[in-house]
Amino acid sequence: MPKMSTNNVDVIKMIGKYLDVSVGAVCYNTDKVPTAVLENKNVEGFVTIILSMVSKCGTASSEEQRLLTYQWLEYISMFSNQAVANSTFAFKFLQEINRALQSNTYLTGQFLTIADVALYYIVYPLLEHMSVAERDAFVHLCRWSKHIQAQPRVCHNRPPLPLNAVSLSVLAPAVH
Amino acid sequence: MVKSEDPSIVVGDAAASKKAAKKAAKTAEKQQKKAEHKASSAQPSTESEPDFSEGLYGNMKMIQSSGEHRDRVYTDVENLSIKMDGQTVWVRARLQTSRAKGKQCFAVLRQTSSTVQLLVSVNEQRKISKQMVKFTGNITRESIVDVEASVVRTAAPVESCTIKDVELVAHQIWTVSSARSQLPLQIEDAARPEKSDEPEALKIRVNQDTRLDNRVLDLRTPANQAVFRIEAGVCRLFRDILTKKGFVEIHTPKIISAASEGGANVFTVSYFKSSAYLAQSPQLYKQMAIAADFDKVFTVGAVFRAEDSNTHRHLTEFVGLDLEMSFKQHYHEVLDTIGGTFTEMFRGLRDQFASEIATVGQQYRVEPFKFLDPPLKLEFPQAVQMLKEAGVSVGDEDDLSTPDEKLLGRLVRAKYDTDFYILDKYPLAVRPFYTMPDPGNPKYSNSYDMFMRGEEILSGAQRIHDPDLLAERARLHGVDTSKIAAYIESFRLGCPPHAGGGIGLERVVMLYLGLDNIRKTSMFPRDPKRVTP
Repeated sequence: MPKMSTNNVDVIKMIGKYLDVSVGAVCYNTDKVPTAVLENKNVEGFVTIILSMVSKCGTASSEEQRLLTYQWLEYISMFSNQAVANSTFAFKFLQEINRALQSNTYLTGQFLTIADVALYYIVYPLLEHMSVAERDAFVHLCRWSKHIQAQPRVCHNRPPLPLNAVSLSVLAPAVH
Repeated sequence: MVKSEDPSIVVGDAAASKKAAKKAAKTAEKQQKKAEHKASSAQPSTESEPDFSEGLYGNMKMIQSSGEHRDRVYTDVENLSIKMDGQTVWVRARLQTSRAKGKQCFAVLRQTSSTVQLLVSVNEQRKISKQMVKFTGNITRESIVDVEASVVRTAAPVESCTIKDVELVAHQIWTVSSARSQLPLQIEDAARPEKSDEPEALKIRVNQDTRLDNRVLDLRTPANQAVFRIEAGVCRLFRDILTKKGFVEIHTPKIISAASEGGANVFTVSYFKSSAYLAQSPQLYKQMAIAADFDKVFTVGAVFRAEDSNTHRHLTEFVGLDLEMSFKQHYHEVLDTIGGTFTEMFRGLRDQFASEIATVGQQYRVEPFKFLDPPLKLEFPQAVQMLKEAGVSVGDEDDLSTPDEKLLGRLVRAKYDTDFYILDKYPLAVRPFYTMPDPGNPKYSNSYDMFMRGEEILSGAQRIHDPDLLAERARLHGVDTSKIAAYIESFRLGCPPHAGGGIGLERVVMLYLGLDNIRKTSMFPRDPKRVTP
């Protein structure tokens, strides 16, 4: 079981560091919704906070990209807490993502978006304690993680995951 | 065909038995009526048609070596070919399946791994009657039959048999030994490939316990016939290769007075008024043979380990192929001999048993075994480094766990493209007390393991041949020196430096073929839960 869970509030803080955007005091309000103070305005909701932080950075992206990013962030916010708490659910969660990444370099297709970074932070504790044999079931997820953590500024406070054996499942697949 | 069943007699109290008796009487009456009806309807058909195949088929008199038919020459099914087109042959084989339909009966005859189609069709000229066809259709599966038939070229190749270009057209058919009608498992089911590409193929498989309970039937499948012929080949190659290198085969006792490897996993036998143990390994005796000037010895014999391990790779009794060799200056003389023996064995298997390996491959997934010549030799610190790079940390003086070994096997396969490698210089702390320490580094030892497909098959080392050092190491390991006094004493009589190792025959065959369970390569396996057949 993961020792350090990355709940949504932590993810928001980490994304703030990644984007170099000050996030202010992030916490859960009475409705269990993450709230942050950005530019003296109250912003509620995991997805909303992240998207407004991104918009402050001013990276251009197509309409389709923005919509896909939004969808993925919604997905992440819905399931991440359950995945951290329940290991069978985590397994299914990772399987779904693995399947989605089978023929995509990034979650939304060909371009790195904030959804990739957010999901990497969520998935980190789940992958951290897996053995090489267990990681074999998530080849695409591991390939993607290895790629994301190599991007600049992603790994600022935690060491990158040791994912050197990813190609092993292709070169020397496990038997029995 | 309607089967008649015996009415079940209920064993109970008087009231119940009266009811049961009434019921039994009723069913008996019913059956009698049925039999009469059958007899009356059957009689006309047999009476009306004379049987002109009289004397050409039937149940053969029990072969009691009375001297008849000694001039008959039999042909093996595997030798049937187009070259024999037109010839008449006698074949003794098993009737695998038969399908009778009116005037024809198609049967498949099987002899070890070869199958051929047999055709019995009504023909007045060749004196095949309807009764003979019916008789053939009724022969129970797996019965042994003697068939006199003509070898005939087939119009189209017979896909379902190994002999595809010819079939046998029967003249005579006799049952030598009938099998009972209800078999505990069907050979076809037991021989069906594990994974089938066809979506329409039958999915009936026989599970391992059923196979092992009915081992006589299970061993008849082509894959099993091939597996045990390969196993015989491994044993023969081991013997031949070592004999050529000047080794002498010895046989060591299996009833011993003290546990050789360690007290826990040993079987005790009652020995007259006291007790003795079943040998866990021939270790002590191999070394005593070296001290007795036999220089290079090997032994093939049973090894008994009373480990309650119910895994895919442990048996309580297995065949050990052990060798021990004296050397002049460095234990690598022995290590290279062992490695070379393995390489020659793999080459011999690949070249001489290609068809058997292919037969096994038809039922189980078999990946060809890759090896290097000379074999790959890694040192323990190198292995630890490789594992570290993959994210697994192993302590300086720790042994490798089974998952570590499996991962290391995959890493080696990916990096060096070999399924067989030697790992040298294990930490001293994890080896038995009689292992010679490394002269350069006291934390390590002159010991080695060999791996096939990531699983350990051989554990060996240079043995301590100095009695004082041996006694000291025994004390350090907490071994009671009084129990091994005779062993230590044998080194006080002058003993050359020596090293060796032992392998499990079943494990080598299992890993060479890439099978998943050692019970597949042990003819009558023994494990904590199985002592029969």
